[in-house]
Amino acid sequence: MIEIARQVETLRPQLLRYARSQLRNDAWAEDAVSEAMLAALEKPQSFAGQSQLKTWLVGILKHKVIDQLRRHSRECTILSDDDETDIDELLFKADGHWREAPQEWGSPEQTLNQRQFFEVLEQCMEHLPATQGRVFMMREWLELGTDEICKELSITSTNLWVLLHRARLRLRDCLQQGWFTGRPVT
Amino acid sequence: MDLKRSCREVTRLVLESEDRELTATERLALEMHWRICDTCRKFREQAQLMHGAMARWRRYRNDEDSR
Repeated sequence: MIEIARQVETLRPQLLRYARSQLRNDAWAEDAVSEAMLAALEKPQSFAGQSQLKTWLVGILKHKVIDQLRRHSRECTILSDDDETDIDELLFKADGHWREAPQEWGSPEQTLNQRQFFEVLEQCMEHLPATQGRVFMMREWLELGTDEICKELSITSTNLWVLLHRARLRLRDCLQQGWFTGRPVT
Repeated sequence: MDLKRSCREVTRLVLESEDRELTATERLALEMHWRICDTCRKFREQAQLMHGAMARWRRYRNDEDSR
């Protein structure tokens, strides 16, 4: 029991980061993580090592994060666009042509085998504007269907596609700058 | 329906295909556009890389003991 308490504590910073990236609110993230940790401590069964514990905890955390999103749904749905810059405008001319052509990113295999790439990817996700970040993470981390996200946030599917579209364009832009041209993420 | 799409529209469709099923006409319009536009083909490759990256990232985050 002391052992599991110690292991759970070791994983806490990681779990907090995950919860924050989804919830965009420190207090809610802390609550979600605490609930997940409590669940682990109440579990009579022991875990075979840290990685099994992590898999289990992350699974529970996702549920707790969804609970938090529901609990605070009213505060989350402020869709008064949190993104002043129109990314489409930055990328495309009025006639619909690219302002600056997308660059060659090289072999996906080579990129995806580098652990540091994923550190940059996470930073880029954390830098998304809050509303975009939330819907993007609901889709990509919580793996919720688009209907479900619309229902949770009371938005139309058109709204959702616009938000996801912007999030993905921003992410691409951030990866271009932070990884493929090697400038630090700001 | 006109099959001609601007690069901006093609980009939107490529990204939306992550979140919804495109119609046959939309898919056809994409195929036609890619045949004549190098730039959007390159964007498609970037989108594919990002798609693969998200899948692997989920694995790291959910299962593997990272960092």
